[in-house]
Amino acid sequence: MNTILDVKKLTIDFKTENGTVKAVENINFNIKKKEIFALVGESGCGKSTIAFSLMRLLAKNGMITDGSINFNGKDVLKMSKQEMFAFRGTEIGMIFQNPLDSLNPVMSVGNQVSESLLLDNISKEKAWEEVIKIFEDVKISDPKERFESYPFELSGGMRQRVMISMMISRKPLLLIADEPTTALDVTIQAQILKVIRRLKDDFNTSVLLITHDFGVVAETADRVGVMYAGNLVEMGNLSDIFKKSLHPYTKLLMKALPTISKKEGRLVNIPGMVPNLINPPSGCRFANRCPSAIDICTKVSPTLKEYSDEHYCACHLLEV
Amino acid sequence: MQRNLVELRNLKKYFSIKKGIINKSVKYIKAVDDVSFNIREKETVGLVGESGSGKSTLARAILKLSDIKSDSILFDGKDISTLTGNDLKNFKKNTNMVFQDPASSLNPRKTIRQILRRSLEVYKYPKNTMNKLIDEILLKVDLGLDFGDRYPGQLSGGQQQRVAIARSIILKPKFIILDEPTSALDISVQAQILNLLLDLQEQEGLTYLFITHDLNIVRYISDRIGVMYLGGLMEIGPAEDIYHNPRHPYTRALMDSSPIISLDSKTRKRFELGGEIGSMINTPKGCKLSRRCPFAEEICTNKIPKMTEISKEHYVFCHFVNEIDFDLYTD
Repeated sequence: MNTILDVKKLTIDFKTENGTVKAVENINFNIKKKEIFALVGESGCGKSTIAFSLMRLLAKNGMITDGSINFNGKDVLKMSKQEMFAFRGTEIGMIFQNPLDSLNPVMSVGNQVSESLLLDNISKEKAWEEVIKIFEDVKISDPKERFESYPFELSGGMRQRVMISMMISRKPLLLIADEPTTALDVTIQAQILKVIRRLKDDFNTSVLLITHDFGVVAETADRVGVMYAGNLVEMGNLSDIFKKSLHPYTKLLMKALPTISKKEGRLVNIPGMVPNLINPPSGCRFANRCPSAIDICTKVSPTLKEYSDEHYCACHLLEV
Repeated sequence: MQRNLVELRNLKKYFSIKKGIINKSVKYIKAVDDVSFNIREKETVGLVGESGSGKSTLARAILKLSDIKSDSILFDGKDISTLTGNDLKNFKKNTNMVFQDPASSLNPRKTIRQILRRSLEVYKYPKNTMNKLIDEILLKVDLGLDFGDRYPGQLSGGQQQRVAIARSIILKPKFIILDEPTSALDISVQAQILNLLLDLQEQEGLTYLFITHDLNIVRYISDRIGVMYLGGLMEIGPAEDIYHNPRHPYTRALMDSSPIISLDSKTRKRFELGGEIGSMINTPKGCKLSRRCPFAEEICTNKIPKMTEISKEHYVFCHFVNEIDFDLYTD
């Protein structure tokens, strides 16, 4: 079996005072072994919600109302609390945008990382040795000295490396990286992305990368899912998405990215705004901004269909 | 050739670290160290650099929001450090700034109309004119007139940034500093704001200093790009020259780390610098990059490099600009 994660028909609602937010609707995707899969989309499209649902860490008002999450042969949505406790970290690890929020400020980073190793009942000395080895793997300079450092003494890039160390110390099959480099400078971002690219070879880890930045996608991902307003609108290999995109949203987004100079022309404006997900419009959620929308688009939700090998798209225009 | 609107002459901005009971200055943070360049009328100069490179300190100095030595900044030919009275008022009217986070730069308790009216009130415009100008400006930034009565909290990030831009240009200034104006916005909104800025520049004849860390954006919007590192200017030149032919090791490393939207981005060869951005407290005596630069020799640590013009208007501050071969350290 080559697939490690299989998500089917995933639908997530959030109950709020103003009504039910249909944050994620009918999402299907899978992640293969040793693959970097990127979920990309603008803020509020539901990409992080999906990430949290995989760990069953949704906020209290969030509910998975439909669908299934199958991870390495296990049905994640049917696991008990104890099973989830053992599952998190061991099978799926997660890192976030701001590592300082995730690290304990009053404990040295080495001790924090070794905590998870000590769960295996190994001696402290052995755990420390292991931590220093992992620090070397993620290219933390002077790993022995850094072991004693506290989070506030480290730079943003180093802190993110510590987070990655902590996650991979349990050798999870999947690492979820939620905007891991958004708070970092570009030269540091390049270093962290290099570490993430190497994880699959060094640790046999698959990566689910959550990002809004197509540059980061280009630097790391094997396959990409494009999300819009809670829907997965297109999915395919990096080259399918970049060179042969099918969905009008993906196509426009590619032209809205600053890849030219102003002398060569203007960037494409995508007029309008993302619809409110409390009462989302019927039909395709992009229809109100789509320049080529037809009658059916505002009435029926399009379904994700395969158009060429592993290249999926949900758009009525392709079916006419 | 357009005339210079802003001239920086060996601009320095040091912050002192004080210690002891007599508050003796023991060390200096050299936030901006000996930077000189000009901004011409109606052009956009992009300023790039990583966090802590001094870009925002430089911006604040140009707008006279911090104290500087005399004769280091000229606006419209006048030394801004000596401006008083009407000259100062005139200068403040002609310059403005747009910040990264529009939500925190707009008063949440005031309607958009009140926010826009505030700067007009300072300059004592008659009531009728104020309302007319506010209507005009709302349309100009593509917000409807009905937005005037809403509060910032009712607007999306993109709409808030349009209000911030409207406020910055309502007094018809000549010069605007844009400090990461699109960093907090989504891609589709970012494109809208960048295009709005270009349109406004054409219509109003504005001059921009555009500060960002995003090299793709700076290439799109700028006529010329300046690159800063640890408070010093490393390289400055026409946007396409900097983008396609960076000659300073720092600029080259920055370009090579910047993600490009292309299928070869995973496999492309890169020139990388080891280590991390150093502290501004103990910067090297010579070139600011000397501690990280693989080409550095003794002279680099001791002597500040002179400016070399390598092609028309493309200046590099590096001792070995004509000798270094990036291929030696590229992988």
